[in-house]
This record gives sequence, structure tokens and C-alpha cells, in this order.
Amino acid sequence: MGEAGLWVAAGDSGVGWWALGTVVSHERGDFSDEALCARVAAREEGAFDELVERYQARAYRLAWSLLRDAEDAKDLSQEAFLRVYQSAGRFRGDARFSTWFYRILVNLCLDHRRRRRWWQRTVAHDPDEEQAALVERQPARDPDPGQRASEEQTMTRLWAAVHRLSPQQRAAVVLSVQEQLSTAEIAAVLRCSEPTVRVHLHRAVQALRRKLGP
Amino acid sequence: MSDSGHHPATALVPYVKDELAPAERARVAAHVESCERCQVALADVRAVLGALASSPVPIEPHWGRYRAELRARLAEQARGPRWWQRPLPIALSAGLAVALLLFTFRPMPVEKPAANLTQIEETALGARLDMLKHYDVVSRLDMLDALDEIRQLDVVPVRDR
Repeated sequence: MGEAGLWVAAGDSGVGWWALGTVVSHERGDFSDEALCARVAAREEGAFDELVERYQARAYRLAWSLLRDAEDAKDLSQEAFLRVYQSAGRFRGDARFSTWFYRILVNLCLDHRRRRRWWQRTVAHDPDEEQAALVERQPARDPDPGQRASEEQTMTRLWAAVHRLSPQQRAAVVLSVQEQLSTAEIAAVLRCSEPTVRVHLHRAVQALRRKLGP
Repeated sequence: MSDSGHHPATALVPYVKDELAPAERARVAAHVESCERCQVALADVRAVLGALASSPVPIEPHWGRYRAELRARLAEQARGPRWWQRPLPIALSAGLAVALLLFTFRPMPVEKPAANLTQIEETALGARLDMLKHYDVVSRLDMLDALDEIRQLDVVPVRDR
């Protein structure tokens, strides 16, 4: 750790800041996400780039999982980084940076989907089909080609069903299964209670179970 | 207990993910052990989460290009809105557009109809001015109008002539 510091709440101003200690070095990877965010708030050169490099793949994948559109995923994940840059000074550090960042990104994606829904209804656009060619599959565990194909079909069908869940249910499933967030963390991202997240996940599992077949 | 009591349906996902506090975990485990319905539900949760474990992975963009685009957007944002995106030009443009619309759809002056019949007749006669080319005929017609009076010249009292 190259930099010692402390998050300080700024009372009614609603602004947190990083009280800088002795700066020993600024080597890449020395900082926690939260410390890096504080450096972004202080407009330290290179801090934003480092934060982006840490989160770009996760951000893009999460956005893609929620939107199933490569261009939108790129656009909205970049937009989330821009929001982080703008409001890094308002990050108080009372939650993990990843939770805060996911909240920004998920909100952007859900808002985007809400705005796009009427258009999708009008033109019956199915992004799952369109994106099928762009999707790589994780290697199956079983080397048997027949079983592998069957598993891939099941996976495709299941994730297509995930795409048709309600926005909150889908976000809960993606954050839980893909990002491995706990129920408490999902609640923090979605700004709802843990019991609500449990209900979202339960209903989502019920809906997806029907797609799996007997 | 078989299929009775409170079913911890919404706790099954956290149970499978091993997120429950020890007390709740023990409670759910005890219930599931004795409840056939929850055993089926638990198997469903495991099947779905297992199937979702392998997820589609999008082809990632070129990260260098991604960051370059992001830097460009950041620079654009730092410059602030373009001059035509600022409030004053937008307000001026909107005002000009409204003025154009008002001018285009302004009420046109309408010719009012003549106030009395005489004016209508004069207007209609004016449209037939070519009759003046045949004035001699018209004057004869005027004499025909006075034919009755001419016929009665002998009976009209002298003093009235």
C-alpha cells in the first residue's frame, strides 16, 4: 500500500474526501478501489485510467448481460465510467466501490431498457437471435460433443429466458450468478431490502425452472 | 413434518449459495429434510443455478479502442456543451421556429361580401363591361324600356309633360 488515508464524511455537504497521508509511491495496483476512486476525485493523473482498466471487462460483461447488445453495452459501460469521474467526490466510502459502481451501471442499463422497450415491441426485434453469432460459449465440462451441444442449447434457452424476466429479477439473477454478489450486495446495488432480493431470485428460479423442462 | 409449516421458499437460493447465517441455515436444513415439497424446490434451485453457472460470454471489444473512445467522451464532456447546445442558442432557435410557424399560418385577409344588393349588381355588371362595345344596341334597349310611356303620350296631361 503506497498511500495511507482515511475517508472522512463531510457532514451536511454530502461530500466525502480522502485525507491524504504520506505518499510513498504511486505504483499501479497499490491502491484499493476505494482509494483509487478518491484519487479520481482529486483528479490525479492516471487514476481514472487505472480504475477503468480494473473494471472495464466486468462493466462491459454486466451491461451486455442486462442488454444483450454489444454497442449498447459499450456505450452504457463507458457512460458509467463517465458518471464515476463526475461524481467520484461524492463517493462516501460507506459501501464498497464495486457496489457503488454496479449501482450506477445497473441503473443506466435498466433505464435504457425501459426507454427501448416500446421500440422493441413495435418492431419485434429479438436481440438474442441477433447476438447469437457474437457470443462465445464457455467450454463445456463434458467432452462428449452430443452432450455438449445439448448443454449449450439448454444454456442458450435459459439465458434467453433470463432476458425475458422483469428488469429487477434479471438484474438480481445476473448479479447473483454471474457477478457472484451476495444477497446483501445485490440489495445494496438495487437499493432494496434483502427479503425483496430473495423474492426476486425465488420468482426468477421458478420461471426459469419451467424452461429447463422435466 | 411433511409438506406442512412455513416453507422457506425464498431462503433456498441463499441456502444453496451458502449465504445464510448459521441459525437460519440450520432451520432451513431441518425443514427441507422433513418437507418433500421443499426438497423438490431445492432440487429445482440447484438445477437452475447449475445451468446458469455457464453463461454466455460476449466477445470483448478492443480495450485500447474502448479506452480511447472513453477518453474522447471525457474530453468532450470537459469542454462542456457545444455552442448550439447552450440554453441561449436553443431558446433563440426555438423562438425563430415559432415565429416562422406563426408567419406561415397567419390568418389571411378575407374579402368581405358586399354590404347591399346594389354593390353586388354593380360588381356583376362590372364583369360584363364588354357590353359597352355594343352601346348603340344597349341604348336602343333603353328606348324599349320607355316604350310604354311613349305609347301613352297622347293621354298624359299637358301640364305633366
